[in-house]
Amino acid sequence: MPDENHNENDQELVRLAQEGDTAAFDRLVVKFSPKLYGLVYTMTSNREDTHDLLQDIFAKAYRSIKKFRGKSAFYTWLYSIATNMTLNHLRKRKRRQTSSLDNLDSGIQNDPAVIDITHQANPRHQTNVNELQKKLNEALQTLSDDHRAVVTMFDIQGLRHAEIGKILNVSEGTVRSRLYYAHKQLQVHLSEFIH
Amino acid sequence: MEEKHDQVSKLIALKNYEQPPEGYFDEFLSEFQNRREAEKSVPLASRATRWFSELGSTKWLAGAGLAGATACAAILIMLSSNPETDPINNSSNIRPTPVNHTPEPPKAPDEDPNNPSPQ
Repeated sequence: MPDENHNENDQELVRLAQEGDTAAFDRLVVKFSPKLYGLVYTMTSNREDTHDLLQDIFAKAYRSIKKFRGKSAFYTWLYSIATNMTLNHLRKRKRRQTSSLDNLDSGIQNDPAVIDITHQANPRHQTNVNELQKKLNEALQTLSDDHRAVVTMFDIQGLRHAEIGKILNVSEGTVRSRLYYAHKQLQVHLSEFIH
Repeated sequence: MEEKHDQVSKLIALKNYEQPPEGYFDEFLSEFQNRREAEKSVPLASRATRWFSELGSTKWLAGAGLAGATACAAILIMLSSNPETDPINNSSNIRPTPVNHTPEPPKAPDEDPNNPSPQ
């Protein structure tokens, strides 16, 4: 996650964007879109939804940038917008029940880190990355939206408990509790990869 | 137990490697820039509609407040445009009733007002 220097850069870009500098805002989009993509995609498991949501998130951030007072880091503010909009979207999707979830992502099969960890986890079998990806997605989808949000931000995005608490507007204790129960649930679904 | 939590964390962290195809974020930025330009020319009514739809669950509260404020404004406008019914600013209400000092002439005792006698 962004360190102190990054935050300083963000502050300057935000200040320029608040004065109407669209290029400065574009730099913020370039900087944060990959991270936010990961957040939203893990939450929705649907590429089209992720794309549309991400456009909406940055559009809303652009419209609201003048309201940002700098009480928190910019990325905390941006993550709050992203998380709230994604959770709202998921609630609406549950009511509609029409969206389909993507089965797999095709981009990571050959990643050495993935191959290594799947081999460590299950050395007796040939590495089956597709199966692992499918299981990961399925396991994450069994979590409630709130629990999945915490797992996504902590385990995938690398945010700290306190930061997640600020983003979700809950206490640090609530974050730890949600993470604990989510991990317990995930252990059951991923037992074949855990030794 | 702690070790198993760590293993779960490591497995879930593999999702980090899931990224969209190369060039996706360049196209994403272009689309965002086009959208931003397009939104600048969106009429005010459409922007208000979008703002309302983005309010989430509070939009019903905001809608009720807006309806109430509109009703109050309408009542005030009606009252101010009709001075006869304005209980506060209508000076006619406090105007003294004029006193008629001219005495009426006495009526003739046998005269029927419905059948006046021919002259």
